[in-house]
Amino acid sequence: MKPRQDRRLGTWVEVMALIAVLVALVAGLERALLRPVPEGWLRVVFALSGAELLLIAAGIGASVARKVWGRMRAQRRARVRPVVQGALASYLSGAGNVEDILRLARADRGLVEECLEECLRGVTGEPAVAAVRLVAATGLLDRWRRAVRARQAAARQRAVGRLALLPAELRNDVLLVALRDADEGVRRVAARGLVATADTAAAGEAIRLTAVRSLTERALLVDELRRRADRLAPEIFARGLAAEDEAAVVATLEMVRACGRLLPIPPVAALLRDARPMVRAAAVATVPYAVGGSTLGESVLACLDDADPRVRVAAATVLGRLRVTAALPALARALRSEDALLAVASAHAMAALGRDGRRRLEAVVLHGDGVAPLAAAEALGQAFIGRTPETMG
Amino acid sequence: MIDWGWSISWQSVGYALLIALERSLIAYVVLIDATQLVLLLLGWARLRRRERICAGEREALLRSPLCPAVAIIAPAHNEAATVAASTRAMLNLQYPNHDVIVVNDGSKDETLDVLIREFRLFRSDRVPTGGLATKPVKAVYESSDPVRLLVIDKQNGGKADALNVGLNYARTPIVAAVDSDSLLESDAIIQSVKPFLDEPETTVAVGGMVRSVNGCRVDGGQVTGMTTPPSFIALFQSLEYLRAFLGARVGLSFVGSLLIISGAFGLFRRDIVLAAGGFLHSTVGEDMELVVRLHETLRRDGKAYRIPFVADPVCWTEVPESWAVLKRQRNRWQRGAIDSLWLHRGAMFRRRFGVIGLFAMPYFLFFEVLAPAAELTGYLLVVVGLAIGRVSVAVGVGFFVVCVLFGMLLSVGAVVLDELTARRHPSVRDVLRLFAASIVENLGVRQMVAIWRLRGTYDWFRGNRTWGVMERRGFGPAPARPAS
Repeated sequence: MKPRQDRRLGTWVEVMALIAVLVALVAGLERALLRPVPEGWLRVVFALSGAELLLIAAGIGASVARKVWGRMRAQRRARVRPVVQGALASYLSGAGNVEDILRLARADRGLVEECLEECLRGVTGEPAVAAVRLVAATGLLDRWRRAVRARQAAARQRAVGRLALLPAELRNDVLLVALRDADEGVRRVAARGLVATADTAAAGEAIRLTAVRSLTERALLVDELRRRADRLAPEIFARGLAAEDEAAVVATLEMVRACGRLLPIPPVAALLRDARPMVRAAAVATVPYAVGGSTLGESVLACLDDADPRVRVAAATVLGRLRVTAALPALARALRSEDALLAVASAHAMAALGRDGRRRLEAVVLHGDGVAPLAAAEALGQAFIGRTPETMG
Repeated sequence: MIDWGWSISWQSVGYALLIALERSLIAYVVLIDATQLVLLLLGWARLRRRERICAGEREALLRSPLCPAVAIIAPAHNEAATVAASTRAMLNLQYPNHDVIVVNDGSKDETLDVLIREFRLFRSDRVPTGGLATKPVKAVYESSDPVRLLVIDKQNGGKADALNVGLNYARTPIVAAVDSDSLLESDAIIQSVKPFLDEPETTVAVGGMVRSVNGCRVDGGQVTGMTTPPSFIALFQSLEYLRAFLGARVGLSFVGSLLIISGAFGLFRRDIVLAAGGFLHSTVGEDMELVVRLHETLRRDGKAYRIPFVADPVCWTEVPESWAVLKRQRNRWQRGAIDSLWLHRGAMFRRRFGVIGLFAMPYFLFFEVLAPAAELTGYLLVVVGLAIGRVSVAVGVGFFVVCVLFGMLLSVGAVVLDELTARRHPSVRDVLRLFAASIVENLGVRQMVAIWRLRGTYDWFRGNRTWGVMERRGFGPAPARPAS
C-alpha cells in the first residue's frame, strides 16, 4: 500500500476507533452503573450525552460525505464539460443543432448554463447572436427572467448576472426592477448591466440610485462606467450634481474622480462656493477631472482660506496638481499652519510648482519653525526621488 | 446565651455550601453550554447569509480608486527570521491603495539590518501627523524600490507603543494592525475593507479570521498549500482558532458584542483610534482593550457605530509548537482579557452601554475569564463528591462525559462550519485529522489549558504584566547572516 493511502486509512481507523470507544463508554456505563441507580436526572445526563454523540457523529459524517460528494461531482463535471463546450462551439459556428444542447441540458442543466454564460461573455459578432438565439430556444431566457423573482438572493443575483449579458431589449425591463432589489449583490449586478448598455436613460437611473448607496456598489459601478464615461458623462452626472441630497452630490463627484480622466461634466465652479463643507471639499478635489477645471485656479486658491480644514487640504493638493504658480505665496502661508495635514499638503504642492517652490521650501527647512520645516524636508525629499503624495505611501 | 431554637454544625454548613456550589456549577454549565451553542448556530446562520465579493467583482474593486487607502502597521520585535518574508507578502497584497509601515520596536537581533538590506532602505524625512505620545523614534526609512514601504526604527516600548508610532505616521483613513510574524492572504485587505465600503460612516473597526500557518506550504510570502499541522500541539490550536473565530466571534459580531479583534489582524479607522488615544501601553491585551475602549467611548458619546467580524479574509499566523511557549501565551491572553475588563469595569452591567454592558462584558467575564476556574472547580467537586459519597460514580462520570462531549460537539461544529462556508482544507484526511483532534483535545489538553489560564488569573492578581518570549521558526529558510 502506498504511504499516502496508508496514512488516510490510518486516520480513518483512528477516528472510527475513537468514536467506538466513546460509544462503548457511554453504553457500558449505562449498563454497568445506571441500571441499579435509576435516578431521574441521571437518565437526563445520559440522554444528553447520547444526543451529543449523535450530533458529533452526524456532523463528522455529513462533512466527510459532502466533501467526497463534492469531489466526485467536480470530477464528473470536468469529464462532461468538454463535451458541452464542443456542442456549444459547433452550434455557434452553425454546424450543430439545438436538440444536442437540449439533450445535454436534460443531463446537467447547470453545466450547460455555465458554459453558455461563458460563451455569452467571450464571443462577439455572429456567434454572439447565435448564443442569444440559443438562450431563447432552450428556454433559458424565460427561466432566467423567472429566477429574478426567486427567494434566494444568490439565485436572483446569478439570474440577473446572466440576463445582463443579453441585448438591452431582452433584459433592461428586468434589470431596472432589480435595481431596487433588497439584496445588494443583485443591485450591483443589475446596475453594472445597465451601465454597459448604450441606453443613457437606463444608465442614468442606475447612477442616480447607486449614488446614495454603499461605496461597494459605487466602486463596482464606476468600474463599468469608466469605459463609457466619455459618452455618458454629460447626461448621467448632471442629475447627481444637481441633487438636493448632500451625500448624492458628494458621491457623484467621487464617481467622476474615480473615472480617472477629464470628463465633460457640468461646471463645478458653483459647487466650490456651496454652503456644505463636504460638497466644497469634494468639488475642489474634482476640479482636475472636469473639462475646463484648469481655468478654476483662482476659485481653488480662494478655497485655501476656507473655514473647513478638509477643504483647505484639498485646495492645497489641487493647486499643486494644477501647477497654479500664482498660489505660491498662499501655499507658503498655509505651510506655516499648525494643521500638520495642511502643512504637508502645502509643502508637496510647493514642491510640485518647480524651482521657485523648492527654493522657498529650502529656506523653510533652514529657518522655519513648528511643523513647517519637517513638512518642507519631507516634500523636498520626495520630490528629489520623484515621488508624489499619491505614490510615496 | 441566646437560644435560636435551632442548632447548626460546621459539617452541615459545609455540606450546604457544597450543595450550593454544586448546583451553581450545574447551572453555570447549562448556561455556558446553551450560550455557546446559540453563538455557534448564530454564526452558522450569519455565515450562510454573508455578502461575499465574487471573483469578477473582486477584480473590479481591485481596480477601483474608490477603495479607501489602508496603511498596514506591522510592529516587529526580534523578528529577523520572518520579517522580510512577511513584509514582502504585505507589499504584494492585492489592494489598489495600500502602504506598509514596519515599526522596528528596539529589536536586539538583525530585524532592521534585514529590512535595510532586503528593501534597499534609505533615511527619510517623514512627518508624523498623529499626536500620540510614544517612545522616541530613532529614524524613518523608505525603500529605494518602487514600493510603498515605510520602516520606523524606535526605542523599545512594546507592541502597543509600536502600533501608536505607526498610527502617528500613517496618513490613510484606515489602518490595519498586523503581526509582522503573520502572513495575510493576498485578498485579505480587500475582503476586510468591505464593511468600511458598505457602511463607511458607522464602521470603526473590522476583525478578520486568523488561522494557523504551521504545516502549510508557503511560497513567496503566500500560503499556497493548506494542510493541517503535523504536530499535535499546533493541530489543537488550529482547531481552537476555528472554534474561537467561527464558533464564537461570528455569533458575537452578529449581536454587536465583538470585544476582541485579534492583534494579528484587525482594521481600524485611524481618526477614531487617534481620538480614543491609540493603543494602551500598560496592558498585555492591547488588542482587546482598544476594542472595549472603542465600544465604551462610542456608546458613551451616543454615536452609531459597528465593529463587525468578517470570516473571509485570512491572516496566517505561526502558533507555538512547544508546551512552554503555549503556556506563556495562554497565560498572557488570560491576563490581557482580565486587564481589559478591569480597566473598563465601569461599563459592566450598565444599561447605558447597551448590549456591551449587559451581555458582551458579562459574557467575557463569566464564560471566558472565569471559565477555567469554574471548569477546574467542577472536576474538583466531582472528586470531593465521590470521596464523601455525595456523588455516585455514575453521576460523576456522567457529568464528566456530558461536559467533555459538549466540548467535542462545539469543536466538531466549528469544523463543520468551516467546511460548509470556507472549505479551506482540500483533503478529506485533513478534515478527519481536525475531527480526531476535536475528540482528543477534550481529554487532557483542554484541562491543561484551563490550568494555565487559571495561573494567568493568579499572575494578574500578583501584578505580572510581562509578555514572555515567543519562539519563531519562520516561513522559510533563515536569513543569511551579514558578513561583518
